[in-house]
Amino acid sequence: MRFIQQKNSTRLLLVCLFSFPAWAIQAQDFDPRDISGVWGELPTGRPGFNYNMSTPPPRLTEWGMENLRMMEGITHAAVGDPRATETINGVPTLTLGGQYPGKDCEPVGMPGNLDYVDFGPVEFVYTRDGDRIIQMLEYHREWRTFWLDEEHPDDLFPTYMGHSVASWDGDTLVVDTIGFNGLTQITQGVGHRPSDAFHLVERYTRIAYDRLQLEMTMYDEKAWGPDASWSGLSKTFALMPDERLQEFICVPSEYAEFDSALEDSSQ
Amino acid sequence: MKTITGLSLTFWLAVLSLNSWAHHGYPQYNLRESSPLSGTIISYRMSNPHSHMTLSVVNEDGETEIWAIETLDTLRGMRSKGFTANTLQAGDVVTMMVSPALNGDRTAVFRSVEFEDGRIMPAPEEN
Repeated sequence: MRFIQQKNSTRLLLVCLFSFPAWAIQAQDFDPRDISGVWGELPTGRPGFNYNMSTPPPRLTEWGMENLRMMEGITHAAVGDPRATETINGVPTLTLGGQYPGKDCEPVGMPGNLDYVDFGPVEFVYTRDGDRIIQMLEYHREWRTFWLDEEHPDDLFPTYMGHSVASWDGDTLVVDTIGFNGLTQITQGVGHRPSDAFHLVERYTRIAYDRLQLEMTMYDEKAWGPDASWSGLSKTFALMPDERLQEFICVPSEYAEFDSALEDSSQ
Repeated sequence: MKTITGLSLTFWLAVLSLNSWAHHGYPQYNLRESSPLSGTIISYRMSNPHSHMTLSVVNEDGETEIWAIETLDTLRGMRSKGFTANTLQAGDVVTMMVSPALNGDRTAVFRSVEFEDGRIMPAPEEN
């Protein structure tokens, strides 16, 4: 794939300047349609959750409450007050042994894995044919393919990561994902699984040489209703040019000795 | 190349450390406190998503207890702080700073370790 070099019009956002001063923003020419490389998550300064959420998630439908709500509780409330004792749908938070994405080495899936870019960076890889972009997530070693300028097939087999197609809207890569199997937790702060109707839209914009902005909107007509959506979810990633993804494999057998001691540790 | 810098690094490192513990929540541990726990390493394994170790501790009554300790950091985080697969060995006598379980179970989150020779890992400025 050939990239046309173009001069950055120097869109250094004040929010980046004042929010993430420990990670210097570098003013340097870049191709806004080149998001390849390794990107890490910037510290948000907000304990409890990493998304810059401007709105809470929708409430579950009656069907959703019966079929999707995770009764075990989650590790903490994400939206609004991080000290809340339950989520907007009444799932207990801060629960000993509570559920979280990837617990017990289960797949994290999407969009949950984007919660954990501070634990392990994400890499975007462009293929030689230019027909896809591969997103590689270090956390739990998960990856997904963005099929460029394609439509979702009619006969999708539901998966943990869903099926993603992508296209450029100006200099923003819009990724549309459906076909989830509903077996993961949507994200750490939302105490329920997605339905098989879950629909994720991600918008990636390289706003500076070393800054990648992600905006997400989620839809789930079964869980939240046909007219509901959850937007206002954003993250900013910083380019890590000298970083390489490391192996991250969650292996249950590695925990055998620890788990045995844990069982014996109860009072 | 023009580099733009901002507020003091110390402040943002403090913010970063606060954010790192809060990421998973770890509600079963009192992460706002840490206390010393001295004993002998039984096992130590660096793994993902968290490393873990078991410690033989003699309590105030002279009884031997086994403690299960896990780290906040993934392998990446532990390696960045200088830990290797051999940093701790069975038989090492150490003092750990840990954040204990809220329910009194003999399990805790690892904060730092002091070896018999006085070394502390991670270094205090990273902890």
